[in-house]
Amino acid sequence: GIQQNEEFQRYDGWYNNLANREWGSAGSRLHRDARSHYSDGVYSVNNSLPSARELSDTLFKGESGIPNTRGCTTLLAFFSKYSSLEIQCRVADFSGQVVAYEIMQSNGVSCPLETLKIQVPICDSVFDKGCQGKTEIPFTRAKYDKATGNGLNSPREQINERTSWIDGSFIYGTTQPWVSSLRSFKQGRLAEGVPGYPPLNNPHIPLNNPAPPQVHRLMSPDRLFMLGDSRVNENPGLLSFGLILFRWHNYNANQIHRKHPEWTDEQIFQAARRLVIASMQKIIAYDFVPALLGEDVRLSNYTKYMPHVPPGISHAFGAAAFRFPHSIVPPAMLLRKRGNKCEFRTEVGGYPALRLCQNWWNAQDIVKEYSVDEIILGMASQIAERDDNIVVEDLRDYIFGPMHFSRLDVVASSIMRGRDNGIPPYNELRRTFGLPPKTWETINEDFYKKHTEKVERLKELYGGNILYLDAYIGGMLEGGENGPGELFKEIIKDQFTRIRDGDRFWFENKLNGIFTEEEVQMIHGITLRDIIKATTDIDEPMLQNDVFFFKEGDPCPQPFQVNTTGLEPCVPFMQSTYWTDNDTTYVFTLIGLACVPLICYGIGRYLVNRRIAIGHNSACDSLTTDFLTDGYTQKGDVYGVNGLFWYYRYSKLKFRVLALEWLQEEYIRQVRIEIENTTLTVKKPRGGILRIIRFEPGQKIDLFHSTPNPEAMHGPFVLLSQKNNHHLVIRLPSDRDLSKFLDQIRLAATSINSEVNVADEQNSVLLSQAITKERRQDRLDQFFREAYAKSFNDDELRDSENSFDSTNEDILNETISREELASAMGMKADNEFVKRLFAMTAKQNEDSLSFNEFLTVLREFVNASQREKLLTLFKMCDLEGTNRVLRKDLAELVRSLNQTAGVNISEAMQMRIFNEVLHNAGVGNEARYITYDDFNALFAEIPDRQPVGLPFNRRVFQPSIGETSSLNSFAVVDRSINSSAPMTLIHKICAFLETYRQHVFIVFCFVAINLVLFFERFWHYRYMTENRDLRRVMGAGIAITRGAAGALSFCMALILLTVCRNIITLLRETVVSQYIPFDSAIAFHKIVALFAAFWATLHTVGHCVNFYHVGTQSQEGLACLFQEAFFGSNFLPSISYWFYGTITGLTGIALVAVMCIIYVFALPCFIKRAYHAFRLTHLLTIAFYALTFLHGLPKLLDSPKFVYYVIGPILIFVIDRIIGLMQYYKKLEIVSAEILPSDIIYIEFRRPRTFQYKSGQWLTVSSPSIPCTFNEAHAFSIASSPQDDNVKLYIKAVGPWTWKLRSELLRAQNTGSPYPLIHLKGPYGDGNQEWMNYEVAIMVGGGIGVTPYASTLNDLVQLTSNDAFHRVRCRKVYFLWVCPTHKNYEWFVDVLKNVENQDRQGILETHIFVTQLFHKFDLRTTMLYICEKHFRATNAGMSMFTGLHAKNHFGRPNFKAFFQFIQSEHKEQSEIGVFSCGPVNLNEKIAEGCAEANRQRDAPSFAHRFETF
Amino acid sequence: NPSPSDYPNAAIPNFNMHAFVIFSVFLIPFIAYLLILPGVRRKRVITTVTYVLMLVVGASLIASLILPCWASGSQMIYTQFRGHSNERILAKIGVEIGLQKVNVTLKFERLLSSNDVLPGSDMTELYYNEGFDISGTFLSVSSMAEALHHGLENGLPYPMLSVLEYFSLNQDAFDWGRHYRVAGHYTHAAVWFAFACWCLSVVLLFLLPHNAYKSILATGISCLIACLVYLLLSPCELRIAFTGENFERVDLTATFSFCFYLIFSMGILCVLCGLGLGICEHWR
Ligand SMILES: Cc1cc2nc3c(=O)[nH]c(=O)nc-3n(C[C@H](O)[C@H](O)[C@H](O)COP(=O)(O)OP(=O)(O)OC[C@H]3O[C@@H](n4cnc5c(N)ncnc54)[C@H](O)[C@@H]3O)c2cc1C
Ligand SMILES: NC(=O)C1=CN([C@@H]2O[C@H](COP(=O)(O)OP(=O)(O)OC[C@H]3O[C@@H](n4cnc5c(N)ncnc54)[C@H](OP(=O)(O)O)[C@@H]3O)[C@@H](O)[C@H]2O)C=CC1
Ligand code: HEM
Ligand code: HEM
Ligand SMILES: [Ca+2]
Ligand SMILES: [Ca+2]
Ligand code: NA
Ligand code: NA
Repeated sequence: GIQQNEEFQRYDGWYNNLANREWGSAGSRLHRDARSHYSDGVYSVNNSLPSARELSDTLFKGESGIPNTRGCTTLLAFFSKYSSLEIQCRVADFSGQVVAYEIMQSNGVSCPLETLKIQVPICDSVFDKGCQGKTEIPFTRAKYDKATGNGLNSPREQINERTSWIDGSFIYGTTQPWVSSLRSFKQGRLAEGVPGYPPLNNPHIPLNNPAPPQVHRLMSPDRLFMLGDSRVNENPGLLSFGLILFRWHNYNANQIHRKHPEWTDEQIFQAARRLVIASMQKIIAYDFVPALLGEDVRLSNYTKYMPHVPPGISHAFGAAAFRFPHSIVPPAMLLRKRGNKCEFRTEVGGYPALRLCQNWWNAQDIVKEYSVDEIILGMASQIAERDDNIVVEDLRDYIFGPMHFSRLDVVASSIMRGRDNGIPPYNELRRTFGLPPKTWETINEDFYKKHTEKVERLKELYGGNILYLDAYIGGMLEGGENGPGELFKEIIKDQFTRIRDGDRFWFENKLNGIFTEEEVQMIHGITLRDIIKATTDIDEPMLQNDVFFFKEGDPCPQPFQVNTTGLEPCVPFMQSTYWTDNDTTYVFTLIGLACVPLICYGIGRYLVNRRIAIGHNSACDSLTTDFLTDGYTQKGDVYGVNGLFWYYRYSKLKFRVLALEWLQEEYIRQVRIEIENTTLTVKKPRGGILRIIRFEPGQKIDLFHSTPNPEAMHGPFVLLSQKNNHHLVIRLPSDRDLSKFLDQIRLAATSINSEVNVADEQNSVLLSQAITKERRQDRLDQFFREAYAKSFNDDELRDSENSFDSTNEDILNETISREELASAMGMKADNEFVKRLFAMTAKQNEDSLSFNEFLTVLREFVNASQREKLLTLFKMCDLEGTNRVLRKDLAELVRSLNQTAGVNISEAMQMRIFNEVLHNAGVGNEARYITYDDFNALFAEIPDRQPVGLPFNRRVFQPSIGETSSLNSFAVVDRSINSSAPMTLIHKICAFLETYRQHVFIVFCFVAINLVLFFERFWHYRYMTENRDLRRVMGAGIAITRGAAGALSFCMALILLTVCRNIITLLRETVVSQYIPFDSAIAFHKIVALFAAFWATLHTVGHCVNFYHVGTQSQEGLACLFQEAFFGSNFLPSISYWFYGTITGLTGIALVAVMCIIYVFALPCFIKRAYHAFRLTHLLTIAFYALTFLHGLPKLLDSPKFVYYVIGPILIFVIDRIIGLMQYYKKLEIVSAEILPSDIIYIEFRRPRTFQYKSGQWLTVSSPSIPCTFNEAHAFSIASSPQDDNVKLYIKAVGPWTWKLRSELLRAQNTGSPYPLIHLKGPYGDGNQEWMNYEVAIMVGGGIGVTPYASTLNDLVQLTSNDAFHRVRCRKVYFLWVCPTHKNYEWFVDVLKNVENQDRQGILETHIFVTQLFHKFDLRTTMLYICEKHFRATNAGMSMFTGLHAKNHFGRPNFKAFFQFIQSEHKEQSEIGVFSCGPVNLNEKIAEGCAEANRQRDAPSFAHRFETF
Repeated sequence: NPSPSDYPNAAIPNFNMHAFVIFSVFLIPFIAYLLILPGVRRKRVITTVTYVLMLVVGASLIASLILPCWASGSQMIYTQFRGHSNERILAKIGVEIGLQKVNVTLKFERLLSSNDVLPGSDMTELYYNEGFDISGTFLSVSSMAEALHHGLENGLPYPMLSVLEYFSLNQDAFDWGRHYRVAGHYTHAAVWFAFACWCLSVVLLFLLPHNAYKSILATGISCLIACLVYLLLSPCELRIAFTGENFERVDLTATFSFCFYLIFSMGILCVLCGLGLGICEHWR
C-alpha cells in the first residue's frame, strides 16, 4: 500500500510512460488532436479574423446574477475554472483553477515577445470610454517548442509547463528544488508558517507576482504564501483550495506518522503524497468531471492502464473547451461564518460580498482576515452563474493585466489563444471529434431563437462564413441548461479519459502495486467534502454532501444571487508606461555626459592659465632652484634660504641679485640683475650683457611687484615698465630681495631726482599687462608695416585687421630704439653699421627714431635711384661729413658686417681681403680716403647689379617685396624643363597620389575596414538575430550601436599598433617599410583616434536612445531581453539601474569620462601648452582598455568580442614595450658637455655596448636629476655617427626640461660637481634614416634640425670613403643647411669641415643658407659678397665665413627653383629622396616644393621624409 | 584463422587525457630542467626556486581554468535511481563545480532493497561522471536547462537529475546555477588575466629580470581578485536535499574546494615573491 518501497513518482512527470518517456512531463508539447490551422500553415495567426474584443462584446456581454440552472456552486467554479487570463506573462495566468492548474499551464511568454493587438471597437465601454478608437488590447503569444514552427509538417506547438498527470503538481510543484523548499523534512509534513498555513515567501521562490490592477504597482513577494503552484495566490477561492490541499497533505502525514511512528520523514512524505494524489485523482475524475459536464457524461469505467494512450493536454482542451467554466464564475464571493448557524458576512470591506476584480493577487490578505473556512463555506452555498454565453465583467472587463494595460478581457484572450495555438475553426474541430457540421442557426437553436440579433451580428462579423468561426465561440454558444455543449463535452471527456488511462501511477492501476484493493476502495470513498472536513473547522452539518451542487434542502442557502449591483466597483483599466519616474535620472545623466567634455576642456584651460599665471611651467617648476651656478660662489656672500641660494652683495652703490627673467609665457631665463648708480643691467649669469636700463633724470620710474604672499612657493615678480621698449619682468628669489631691490631703485632715483611709483598686483594681472618682447614685437611689426605701406603706397602691406585710423594715430607717435632697429635688421645694436644708420636718421632725439624719420630713410631706399642709395650709404660712412670716407671707417663697417654674418677668419685676413677688394676697385693700398667715385666703382663689382636696399624683418615685408631668396646662385637651371608645368586637376591629383600613394592606400583600407565591420555587425543585429528580443525593443538602434562598437573595437586595436615605436623601428629595415609610411604613424594614430571618437559617440548616443527604449519595457519584456541580467518579481529596473547599477552602464559612463579626458587633452592647444597634462592623461589609455574590457564582460546584450579584436595588438604592444625596456639604459654618465651659443647644449656620453643605431635615428632622454612630475623622456636626434664610440646630442633649450638640463650642466661645470646622470631609451627609427636608399638624396636641416645630419653626413663619408663596397646607394647627396647665422653653429661647421675633408669622391654638395641676411635688396649682403668672392678666389674656393668649400647663400632657399634644378641635373633618376628636419614651416615649404615639382610627370619625382622639431 | 579478427573493447581507464596533455606543457620543461640541473653551476638554488615556482603557478592557473574544482561536495545517499523499478540503492553523489563546467558523479555503493521479481541487474560497476557546461556559451543562459533536458532524455539516474535541476533553474531564489555561472564567468576572466600576467612574468624573467617582480605581483593580485570574485559571487548556499544512509535528510552542499584554495595560495605566494623581489630590486 502506502509503504515506502514502491516506485517513486517523479515530480516532473518524466518516465511515467515506458515508450514515450516525456509523456505528461512538465515542459512537453501540448497534444495536437486536430489539424493545426495557422494562416501560413506553420505559425502565423490569421489577422483577417474579426477582433476578439468585438466578438466578446457581441456575444459574451450581459448581466451578472443569473443563477446556475444546475445549482452548481461557486466551489465548482473555483475548483475547475481554467481561467485563461491570457495576460502577457508567464506570471499571470488568471486563476487557472485547481484542476486546470493541476494539469496545465501553457501561456508562458515566448522569447522574443510576440505581441498581437486586439482591436478595441470604438466607444468600448471599458477600454475606449473616450471614443478615441485607438486602444488595442495587447496579447502575447505563448511559449512554444522552438523545434517546431519551422516547417509545414511541424507547425508551432505550445508547451505545457505543468505535468498533465494528476500528480499533485498543484500542491508540490514540478521540480525537486520547489518541493524541497516547501517541505519541513519533519514527519513528512509540508512546512508551516502559522499553524495551518504555509510560510510566506521570504526566500523568494519564483511565485507569480504581477502588479495587482487595483493598486497598480508591484508589491513585495514576501506577502505571498509558498505553495506548489506559482499561480496559487491569484484569488481567494483558488488560494483557499491551495491551503486545503496543503493541509490535506499534512493531515495525511500526521495520520501516517501516528500509525507508523518508525517511518522516516521521506517515507511519510511520499506516502502522504501518494494519498493526496490518489484522492485528487478520484475527486477530479469521478466527482468533478461529471459535475462539470452533467450527469449524463461520465468517464467510462476504469479498465486498466493503457500505455499507448497519450496523456497530453490537447490544444482544443486548453485553448477552448476547458475555458467553458468562465461562464459560471460569479462577480463576487459570499463569505459565510463558521459555526452552527447559517450566517453570511454582510460587511466585507463595506460590501455584502468580496468582489473578484478588486482582489486579484491580494488573496492572502483576504484569507488571513476571513480564514479559509469562511471562504469555503461561502463557496459551498453560493450558486454559480449560469452556463451560458454571458461571462461576468470581472473576467470579461476587469481581469488583471500587465502594468501597461492593467485590465484585460478573458474572453477575447481565449479567442486569441485559440488562434495562437492554431486550433481549427469550429466545424473543423467538430469534424475531428466525429460531430456533424453546424450552421449559424443550428449551433444552438434555443439561443438563436432568443438572441437572433446576436447570432446575426456574429455571422456578419465572420462575413457570413461559418468555416471561419472560432472553435471557442462555437463551443461556448453550444452551452446551455446542461452545461457545455457536445463539442466541449467531447473534448473534456476525452482529455480526462486520456489522463486517467495513460497514467501508470493512477490509483486504480493494480499493476503499479501502489495501493491494495482495500485502499483503492477507501480512496473511492473520499470526497471533496471529506477533505474540507479534515482540513477546516467547519461543522459537519453545515456542509451539504455534494459540495459541487447546492440542492433543495441543503444547509444554509445563499441569501441572494450575487450580482454586480451593490458591489464594490472595479478600479478601471489604466495604461501606464514603465518609463515614469525615469525622466529625471535620464535627463540629468544625458546632461552630465554632455558636460564631461566641457568640464575637461575647462580643466585644460585652467591648467594652461595657471601655468601662465604662475609664470612658468608649473609641472616642472624647479627652475627656481637653479640659483646655484656661477662664479659668485667663490666670492662669498652666499646666503642660503631653504636650499635656495641667492647672492647679494650689498654696497652703497652696487646691488646684485640672481633672478629669473620672464620673457614670455613659457620662456624664462636665468639672469643677473645689477644696479649700479642709475643703471640697471641685465646680464647672463656668466656675464654678457643682455640689457641695460638707464634711469634718466626727471624720469618717472613705474614699478609693479607681486602682492606679497608669505605662502607663495616662489619669489615675487617685479615689472619695470619702459618706454619704447619691452618691460623688464623678473622674478626675485624672495620677498627679502624685493625690499632690497626697491630700496636700491629708490636710492638710484633720489640721486637723479626722479620719482618712483611702486604698486602691487596679482601675478596674473601683472604678467598679462607686461609688454613682453613678443608683444612689443607685434607693435613694431605694425610700425614697420605702416611705414612700408606708406613708402610703397601699398595698402595691402598694412595689417588688414587694423584699420588705418584706429591704431595708427598711435603708431605715428611711436618711437623705436636703436636696439629695435638693429634687431629688425637682424643685427646687433652695437654693430657699427647700425650705429651709423641710426645716427644718420635719428635727428630729433639721438636715442630714438620717430616714425617720420624712419619713413624718410625708408623712402630714400625704396624710391631713390641706385646712385642715391649709394650716396646714402656713402654718407653713412662719411662720419665727418667731408664727402670722403676714411678707409679705416669703411674697414670698420665691413668688419662689423662680417661679424654679423659670422666670418671665420682672422682680422688680419679680413683686412687683407678688404684691401684687395679696394685695390680691385682702383683704390690704392696707400689711399687713406675713399671718394664717392671709388665707392661707386667698388659696387660696380656686383655681378648682376642687384638692387641694393635696406632690409628689415622679413615678417614685415617679405610677402610683397618678393624674392629674398638666393637660389639664383645655382647657376645651372636647365630651361628645357618647363618651369611652370601644366597644372591640370588630373596632374595635381596624380602628383598627390604619387606622393601619398602609401598613405592613401592605407587610409582607404582603414576606412573601408571600418565600414565593413560596422556594416557586418549592423546587418547581423538588424536582420540575423531573430531569436533575440533586441531588435524588437531597440529597432535599428541596437544594430547601429553594435556596429559602432565593432568598428570601435577595431580602431582601438589598430591605434595600439600605431604607437609601437620599437617594432616600427625594426620594421623600417624590412621590406614592409616600402608599403607602410611609418613616418606618419602618429598622424595615423590621430586619424584612428578620430574614427574611434566618432564610433564611440555614435555608440554612446545610440545606447542612450536604446536604454530609453529598454526603460519602457515590461518585466517580461526585460526577462526576454536580458537573459543574463535578473530581477526579483517586484523589481522593475529603472534607467538609473541600467546606467548606475550595471557594470556595463557604469563602465560606459566611466568610458565617456575617460575618453573625454584623453581627447580633450590631446587637442593641439593642450599638447602645445600643457604637454604634461597631455602625457599624464594619455596614461589613462590603460584605464580605457581595462574599462572597455569590463564594459562587455557582463554579456548584457551579447557576448563580448572586444577581447578578440584587441588581444593581438595588445600582445604586440606589450612586446613593443618589452623591447623598449630592454633598450632602456639607465644612469649613463655624461663624458663631456658644452654650452653653445643660441641656447644650444652639447652632451656626449659613452655609448652602451648594446646600443646600435642608424644615422638619422633618435632616442629619448630623461634624467633623475631633473625631477619633473613624471621623469619624462624627451626626444633628441642622435648627432654622432653610428661608428662613434660616444653618443652625442645637441639640444636646444626651449622649455622647462631643456632649460633645466642646461642649468644643471652649467652648475656642474661651475662647481666641478659631476654632470647629471641620464637615462636613455631607443633608438627609434625615423624617415631620415632612409637616405642611403636613394641614388640622389637631398637633405635639408633647419636650425637645430641639423643634428641628425651631423650623424648622417659623417656616416655617409665614412661608409663611402673607406671601402668600395658599402650599403649606401647614394651617388650624389645635396645638403642644405638653413640657419639664421652659422656663427652660432660653429660646432656644426666643424662637423662639415671634417666631412668635406673625408669626402674624396665628391658625393656631397653642401649649400649653406644664412637667413639673417638677405640675398637681394640688402646692402650688407652686397658688401659681403664682394669680400667673399675675393676670399674664395685667393683661398682655393674656401669660404671666408665658414672655411668650407660649401657655398654660402644669403636668405631662405627657394625650394621650387632648387628642385627644378635637381630635376634637370638628374634626369635619369626616377625618384629622389628629400629629407628634412627643422621647424614646421620649413618642412611645409619643402613639402610644397616637392608636390609642385612632382607635377612634372616626366622628371624625377621627390619622396619627402621629414621630422618636425 | 577464418574468422575476422575481433578484439574485445578496451576498458577505459579513469584517466583525463585532456588534462594530461595540458599539464605536460608544464611537466616536460620541469623534467627537462631536472635533467640539466646537475649541470647548472651558478645560482642553482635561486634558479631552481624561480623555475619551479613559475611552473607551479602556471600549471595551477591552467588547472583552475579547466578543472571543475572550485566548489564541490559529495554525499552518501539512499535513493531510487530509475523508473519502472523500485530498487533503492546506497550511492555516493558528488558535485564538482568549475568555472565553466559542473561535474556530477554518482557511484554505486550497494543495493538496499528491491521488490523486483526479476533478479536485479548488476550495478556494482555503476559509476557516472558527467560534465555539463555551466558557462552558457554564446547567449545560451539556458545551457543547464538544456543539459537537464538531455539528461532526462538520456535517462541519467534520478539523483543526478536532481542535481542538474538545481543548476538549471534560473528564477528568483532558485538561482544557484546562475550564481555559479556568473561567478565562474568573472573568475574565469580574472584567472585568464592572471595567466596573462604570468606569461608576461615568464617573458620578463628571461628578458628583463629586474622588472619581473611587477608582473609577478600583478599575477598574485589578480589571483587574489579571482578568489575574491568567486567568494562574493558564488551562491551562499546550495543545499540539495537527499535521503541519507540512515534515511534521515542529508544535504548535498558545495564548499570551496581545491582550485579555489590553490589559486588563493598561488596568489599569496606570488604577492610575497613579488614583494620580496621588489624590495630586493629597490635596495639593489
Ligand atoms: C623625433 C624628435 C627629435 C628631436 N630631436 C631634437 C634634437 O636633436 N635637438 C633638440 O634640441 N630638440 C629635438 N627635438 C625637440 C625636443 O624633443 C623638444 O624640444 C623638447 O622635448 C622640449 O622639452 P621642454 O620641456 O624643454 O620644452 P616644453 O616647453 O615642454 O616643450 C616645447 C614643445 O615641445 C614639445 N615637447 C615637449 N616635451 C616633449 C617631449 N617629451 N617629446 C616631444 N615633444 C615634446 C611640445 O609640443 C611643446 O609644446 C626632437 C623632437 C623629436 C620629436
Ligand atoms: N620660444 C620658443 O618656444 C622657441 C622654440 N623653438 C623651437 O625649436 C625648434 C628649432 O628651433 P631653431 O633651430 O632655433 O629654429 P629657427 O626658428 O632658428 O629656424 C631654423 C631655420 O629655418 C629657417 N626657416 C624657417 N622657416 C622656413 C621656411 N618656411 N622656409 C625656409 N626656411 C625657413 C629659418 O629661417 P628664418 O631665420 O628666415 O626664419 C632658420 O634659418 C623650432 O621648431 C621652434 O619651434 C626655437 C626657439 C625658441
Ligand atoms: C582612442 C584614444 C587614444 C588612445 C587609445 C591612444 C593611445 C596612445 C598610446 C598607447 C600612446 C603611446 C604612449 C606612450 O608612448 O607612452 C599614444 C601616444 C600618442 N598619442 Fe594617443 N591615443 C589616443 C588618442 C589620441 C589622440 C586623440 C591624439 C591627438 C590628437 C593622440 C596623440 C598622441 C600622440 C601625439 C602620442 C605620442 C606621444 C608621445 O610620444 O609623447 N592620441 N597614444
Ligand atoms: C553611457 C554610455 C554607454 C553605454 C550605455 C554603453 C552600453 C553598451 C552596451 C549595452 C553594450 C553591449 C554590451 C553587451 O553586449 O553586454 C556595449 C558594448 C560596447 N561598448 Fe558601450 N556603452 C557606453 C559607452 C561606451 C563608450 C564610451 C565606449 C568607448 C570605448 C564603449 C565601447 C563599447 C564596446 C567596444 C562595446 C563592445 C564590447 C564587446 O563586444 O566586448 N561604450 N556598450
Ligand atoms: Ca499535474
Ligand atoms: Ca454565465
Ligand atoms: Na495555450
Ligand atoms: Na503534456
